Amino acid sequence: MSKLDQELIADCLAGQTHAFGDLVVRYQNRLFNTLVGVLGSVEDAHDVAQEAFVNAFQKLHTFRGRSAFYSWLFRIALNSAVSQKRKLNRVPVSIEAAREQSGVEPLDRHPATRPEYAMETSERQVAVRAALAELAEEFRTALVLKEMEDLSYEEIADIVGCPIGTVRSRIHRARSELREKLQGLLQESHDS
Amino acid sequence: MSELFSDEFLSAYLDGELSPHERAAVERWIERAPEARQRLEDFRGLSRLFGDLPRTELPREFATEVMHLAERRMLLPDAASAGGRKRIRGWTLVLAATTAAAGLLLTLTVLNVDDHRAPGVPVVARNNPGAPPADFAPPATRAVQKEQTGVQLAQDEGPSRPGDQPRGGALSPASAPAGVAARVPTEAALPAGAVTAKSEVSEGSHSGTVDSDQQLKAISVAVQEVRESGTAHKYVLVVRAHAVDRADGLVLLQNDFAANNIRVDARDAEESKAATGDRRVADKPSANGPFAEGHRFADGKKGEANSEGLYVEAEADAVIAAFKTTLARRHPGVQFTVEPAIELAALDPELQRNLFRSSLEKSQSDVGRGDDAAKAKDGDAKSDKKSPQSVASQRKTPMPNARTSPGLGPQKTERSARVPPPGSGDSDADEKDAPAGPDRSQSTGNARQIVVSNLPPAIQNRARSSGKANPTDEKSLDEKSGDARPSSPAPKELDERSPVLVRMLIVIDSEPQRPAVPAVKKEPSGGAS
Repeated sequence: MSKLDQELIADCLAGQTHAFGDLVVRYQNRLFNTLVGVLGSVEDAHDVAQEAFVNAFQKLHTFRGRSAFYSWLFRIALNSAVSQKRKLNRVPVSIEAAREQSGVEPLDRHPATRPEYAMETSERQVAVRAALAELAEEFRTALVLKEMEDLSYEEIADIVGCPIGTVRSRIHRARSELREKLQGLLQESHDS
Repeated sequence: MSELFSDEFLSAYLDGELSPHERAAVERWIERAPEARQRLEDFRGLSRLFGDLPRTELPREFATEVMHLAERRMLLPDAASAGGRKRIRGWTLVLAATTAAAGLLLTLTVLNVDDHRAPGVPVVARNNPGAPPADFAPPATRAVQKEQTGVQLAQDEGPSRPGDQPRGGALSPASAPAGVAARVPTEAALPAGAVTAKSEVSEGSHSGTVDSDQQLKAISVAVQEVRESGTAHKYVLVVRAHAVDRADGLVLLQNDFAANNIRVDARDAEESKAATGDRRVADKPSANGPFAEGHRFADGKKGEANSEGLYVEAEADAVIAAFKTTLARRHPGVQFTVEPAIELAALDPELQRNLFRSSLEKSQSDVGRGDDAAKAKDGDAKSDKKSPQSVASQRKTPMPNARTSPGLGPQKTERSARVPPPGSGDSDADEKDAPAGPDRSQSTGNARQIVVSNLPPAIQNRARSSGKANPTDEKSLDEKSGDARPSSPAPKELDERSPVLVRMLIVIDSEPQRPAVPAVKKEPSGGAS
């Protein structure tokens, strides 16, 4: 946990609740985007992220600093996500569903703004999200935390609450499944 | 070789999660096995695909939404649980509340507890050690305050104009119960500066009332806690707010606290105990205080059923600023004053109790004296220059607001300066005419008081000076300026002892069963001219 996180947490616990707002600003995008990957839905990710921050705020006094604040936050978020999943019981299982659920639009921000490029990019993104959504939840979560957050296996294990070996296994299985599902895209990627 | 390694090693290799020995072995494997190389490339390709996924940026308002939601959740644990979420424990700043009434009443009393003079020594109001907010007016003068007896107070009450009805809950001579007068200490028994005032901000057809027994308890508990905590708090600020929609008013207040870096302490006793060592423990409400579980107030209502409480610790000026923000937002026409209040520390417990009583009793009529001052001011109207604001107020039909205060017995009523919200029926004229500023603030005591009032400046000043009951002050006011503004020195630091920590106990009640106050016919704004 960075020192600044600690300071903000201390400030918040001392009653300066706006300090928590700073923490929210700092981590909201990371958490949200990761949750989009885990949940496959922008809406759900927004709700879960919001819920996670609120829960974190309420439980902040229980945070002991043994792990990074972000790890702790994510653990809370995943718990919320699980609840949300159970509640909603919806995971996009097709590209169309993924497109609908993820709200992916041609969001390419790179200079290559030609329409076909944007469309291809969008198609690729939708395909990735759809394939991701078909993974088992625990595989998907572990892989998203690795690929999108670049967390260590230890951090992921801490967040999801399982041994490091299990994390390694889950990530590998997730990759193997995705490799099969996205073979075409991977081939294109290699060719380009 | 590949039999010795599974793809899992490739994945872990990609992630840099292998030991040096394993890494070296995998690298040798990759060199010799094309299929392993291909698989590793595929895994890398997957990482690139992930990297290409768009990242959405949430708006900055998201954080604000989160904070609002968190605060709301703190205040509305029932709502959270009703929504399928766990009830929030640990934030029992809300013991309970109702949301029926919409009025907001604030009584702010700042008590100095940092004085170490000998008990019983009368206290002369002195300058506030805290630096006032920049937009607060400087203190008028130092004032030695007198206390009036209840009889005097009662005699001060009454219609300000022929045909006017007594304003809300005013103690009329006929209605002033003997018991009330008896509970008000005589001037000799009171220290100077023991005057508090109360104003009321009300909305719609409801208005607030002060349960003085409850407030008395709140003050006593707060003072006692401060003393026992041994902390460096110099003031106890007791705020009594009525009928705040907990999903609105208190959140609003908390937001403003937060905006002013005011720490809100809202942990319940149980969690405070569990968190020994946390500095907030010292701030927790006492187990038998007005926020305690099951506490019953004088009116027989259970504490958790009609009260909310906040403990905050902040600098006095920040608290004042927060209230300014809150009330100014809710009631744009409201003017704020900071008045001399109570110096407490020099008093022995018995005297403190008397002081509290007297303060409360006095507070219930202080604004009444403001009206009395208004009557007197009618005679001085020539010097008042008839500002639209004051004229509007004088023309305003008084609010028939008398009713029973549950904590004071059936005969006891109170009187308050009523500040209707913009657009509410009865005093739009006042709202329209009331200037947005400047704030008319005073701080002539070692502690402060905020008075929320929509009275015109002249009347406000009269109320202030009558609160101090200092003829010299009144004279100086009248002589100094035609519009009776305080003859204030230039703004300056009131005292070098800064900052001043305020231990504030906020009791926010609502009275769902309160009868609606009859609507007052709106006074056309054009009639004020």
